[in-house]
Amino acid sequence: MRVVVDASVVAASLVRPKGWTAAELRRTDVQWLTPSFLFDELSDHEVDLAHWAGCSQEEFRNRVSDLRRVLKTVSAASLVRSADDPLVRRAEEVDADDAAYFAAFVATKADYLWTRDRKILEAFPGIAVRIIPTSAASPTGGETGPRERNGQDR
Amino acid sequence: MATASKVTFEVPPELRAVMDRHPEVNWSAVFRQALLRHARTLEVAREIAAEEDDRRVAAVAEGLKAGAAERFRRARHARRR
Repeated sequence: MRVVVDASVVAASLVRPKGWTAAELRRTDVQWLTPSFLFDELSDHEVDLAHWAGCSQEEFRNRVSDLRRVLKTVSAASLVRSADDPLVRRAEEVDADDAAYFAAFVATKADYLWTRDRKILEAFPGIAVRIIPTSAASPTGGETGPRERNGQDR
Repeated sequence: MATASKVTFEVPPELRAVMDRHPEVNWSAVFRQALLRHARTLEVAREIAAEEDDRRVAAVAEGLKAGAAERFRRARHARRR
């Protein structure tokens, strides 16, 4: 099962490394994905983000490093290639700042987008989820290899 | 070490009749499993709510989201040129 995670999920795991979100990201039945731009932001704005997260810069760097071990990044080139997909266009109409996550979703043929964004959760039921189901309940039953989605959600 | 404690439940007569028809079922275990599942769901909801109410999470998420979105816009724009 492939799942794209957005900034709200990444933020929760960085601020509360012992919390539920961080624990979920350690699940090995899921391939976790996120746009590469998110890690670019984490590197370039480490000082501010560490301050907002309420921890030292060193501690923040360690948390980001832990996150890098579980999150696979979707390259800028792949994201841009998927930018004109109808699903990405539709997401932009809901919130333009979420387009990159939908581009990652399309580029990787993911099963879900994990987010806490209420607008996105309401606008994209079946794609956007607040809790990741177990593999047995996922559309691909835990399959991790490339496959085509049936397209009914797009 | 904590020991298990006894809890008493009231069940409607129809349910009691079904339970009586199936003495081979360990109803205590069935109840325990159902309670455990529900308790886990409640705990997850509590933990999610705690994360969502954390202002630090919101601040980091906002900063990350805006920055990553801007990078995506610039990359798209660069491709179109």
